[in-house]
Amino acid sequence: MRWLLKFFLVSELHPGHAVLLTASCVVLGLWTLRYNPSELDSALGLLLVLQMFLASTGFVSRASAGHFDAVLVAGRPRRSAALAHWAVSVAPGVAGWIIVAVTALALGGAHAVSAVCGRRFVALAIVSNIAWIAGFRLPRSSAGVLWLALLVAVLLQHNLRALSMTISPAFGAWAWDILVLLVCPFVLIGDQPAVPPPVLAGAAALSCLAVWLVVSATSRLNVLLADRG
Amino acid sequence: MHVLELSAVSKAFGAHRVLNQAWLQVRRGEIVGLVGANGAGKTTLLRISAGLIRPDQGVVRWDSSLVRIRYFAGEATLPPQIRARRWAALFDVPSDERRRIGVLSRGTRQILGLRIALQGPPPDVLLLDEPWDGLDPPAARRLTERIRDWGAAGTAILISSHRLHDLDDVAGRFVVLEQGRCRVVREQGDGRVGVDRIADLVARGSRSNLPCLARRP
Repeated sequence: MRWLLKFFLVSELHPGHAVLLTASCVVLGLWTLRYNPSELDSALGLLLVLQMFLASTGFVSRASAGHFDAVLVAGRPRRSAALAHWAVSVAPGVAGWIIVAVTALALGGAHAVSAVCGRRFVALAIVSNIAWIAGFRLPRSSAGVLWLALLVAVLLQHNLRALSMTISPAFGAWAWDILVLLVCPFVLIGDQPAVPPPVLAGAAALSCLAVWLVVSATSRLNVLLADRG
Repeated sequence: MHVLELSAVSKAFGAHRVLNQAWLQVRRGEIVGLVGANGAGKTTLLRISAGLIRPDQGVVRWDSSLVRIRYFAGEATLPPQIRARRWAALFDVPSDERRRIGVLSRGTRQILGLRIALQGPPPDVLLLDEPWDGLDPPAARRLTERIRDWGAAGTAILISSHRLHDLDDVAGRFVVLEQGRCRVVREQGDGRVGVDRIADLVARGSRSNLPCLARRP
């Protein structure tokens, strides 16, 4: 597994400018926190949007170029390879998030705890997992573009607030609430209504289950070369 | 003992059937040359043999006790954005080349890919797709020697190439891929079938009937 992680790190799933952009967002977040520790959500929101693009690294498009042949040939554990690909894909965004969250904790921000182990962290987990899954068969960052377009469409119809307002214990329709969180995890940051813990756990578990299903499916994946028969 | 065995393997891409009930066996220490016209399905057959593509029908078997497979599909499959030295180091291959793979010459990329594929102890199965492409004569000679050495060491080797003379230097058995089927045209030690005869057989299945490529009367 260690070699697989190294393989995907060396494979540069994230281009240099994406890493630079992540670092810039982290610095901006830390700068914001320094002058106004209560602005944690602004810093995290920026990283969350970035993670939509970062985690969407595109497994199949790189595999179709033959770049992953060495780890996908028979006799190699394909599931481990896919899992390592997921880990490396989400790593920069998660690392940036942890730096900002831990700094906020150190500065005494009360709601920073949820950025490490609460609802804000669930938002990061959902964005990381869904962006990786949605981008599995697409070119790099495509899933981020599509997801953002969907969110903008929802925003333009003024449904985002309505969506976030549906999440409350009074509704009791947890399946709908979980779906709302999976489509728009941004409702988990900021001053939104409290989300029932089972809904949070359900959304996080579903996104992890979806990752595992995709990882398992790689054992049946046909790795065709894009330009050759 | 067959290390690699393809039984009645078929594969289609849409309406185009690339492989049609293809049978192929490679024994331990055997070097098999796979030839065929452009688009005959050689790369598809190699990728199925490497376990990268699942056949629509048929079975691919590897000797269950031997599963170390190396496959090199050509320099075009190396990631262009990575620095050559970094990529080589990943596979414990020393390299002084600091430039990105994409800016290297085709031959240099091919050598880098081959050095990675042919490093370390011999694997159980070696699959090479056009390995002599872009190599200068000394590099081609070294490659030929390495393939021979690994064949002698017991590696089952399947090579696809259009360079029939290079292939003839290493391969005992020749298989022509024609209309999706494997046809053995030369067995190990059969000196009667020369390279010219094999070239004729490949030409027969060639679809390159472009006017610009037609032979002048």
